[in-house]
Amino acid sequence: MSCDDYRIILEQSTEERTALPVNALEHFQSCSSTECQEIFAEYELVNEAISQWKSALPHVDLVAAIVSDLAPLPETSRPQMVDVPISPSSSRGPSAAAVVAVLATLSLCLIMMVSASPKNERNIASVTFPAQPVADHQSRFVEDEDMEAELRELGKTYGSWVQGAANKLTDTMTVVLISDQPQSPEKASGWFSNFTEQIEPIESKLDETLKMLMEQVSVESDEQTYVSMTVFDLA
Amino acid sequence: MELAQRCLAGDQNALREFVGLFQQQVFALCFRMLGHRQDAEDTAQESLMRAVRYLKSWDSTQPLRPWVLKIAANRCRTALGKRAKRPVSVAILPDEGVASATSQIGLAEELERGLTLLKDRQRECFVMFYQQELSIHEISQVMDVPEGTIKTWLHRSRKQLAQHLMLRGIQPGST
Repeated sequence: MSCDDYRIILEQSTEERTALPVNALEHFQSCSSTECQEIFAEYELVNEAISQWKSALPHVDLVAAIVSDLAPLPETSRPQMVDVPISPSSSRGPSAAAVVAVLATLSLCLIMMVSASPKNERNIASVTFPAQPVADHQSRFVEDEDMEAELRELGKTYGSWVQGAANKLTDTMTVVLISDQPQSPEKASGWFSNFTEQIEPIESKLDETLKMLMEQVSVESDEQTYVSMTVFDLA
Repeated sequence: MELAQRCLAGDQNALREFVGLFQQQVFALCFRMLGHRQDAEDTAQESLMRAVRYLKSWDSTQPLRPWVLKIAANRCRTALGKRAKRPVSVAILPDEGVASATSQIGLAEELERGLTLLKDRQRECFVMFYQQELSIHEISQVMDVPEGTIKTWLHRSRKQLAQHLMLRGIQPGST
């Protein structure tokens, strides 16, 4: 057999994870070819490293964590969120940014709700309008009123969420500061009033946006009414 | 297969058994791929949870282990895609000049370092072959590549690792 044949045997034994046949082993140990010597040296070195590397692996136990995550848990046994202590000396902590992000998300949801449902309902109403024009007009008027009421409710809910989030943050600040440095509950309150001042422009902007949306809805429903009444007149 | 059926039936003990059976293998793959213990634990946990959740989609005519490892490999690729590669630090490096007492740790560490130099797919292939001891056929199914490609990757990986170890001054039989 040639050196190439023995190299193929070496490669096969590597892929099949079998021991090198004795004749191949003897060839590589005695062959004067530089290539055979290098190939065999690499083969031995990597095998030796792999055998040590395989055993150098930390042990892990994930059973409890996975089983508990997969099973439905009561609220109290879920992992609690860790409150990150906020330095009282910082003028603007990370929590303000988080609340702003929450508010932005809420306003986006509001806009999506307003833009989505009423339009679909109007489309459906306009398709069925010619059959009973007066009744549909009245039902749309009721739908518009319901929608405005819903928007007002959402506004109230949003306001209470903001208040709740701010209260929660203040409580957190108070607990952290009292446990570490008992001198600063006033600063925590002061932080809250600063936070309220900071959030005020956002609140007013959101109010404006809500009002604009409500006006837009009213205008569009008026336009729909006008179009359908024109169609009705033409018919 | 019986274990899978019991898991699907909601048997909590079967679930524990399933996780216990695969957790070390899945963790080993994640640890070798990600090179960071905490990331590996998180990814392993996520992989096993997915395996349990999607167990009904497992083809019972195929072996379960490669299927579970495929899920783990996919999660590892996702995790790698999300973060930049970091240097591996799985063991404390031995001091310069300290020889035989720490040589065993040194060689494993050096191989681990060498693995970070491989391409992701090559490293994945290497780990599944040598750590998980999957066959070339099984690896080709997990990675969705032909067996010839797997063989090529293994060959190149060994070559690169050998060169890396020799460049680091490690010779066969010296440890």
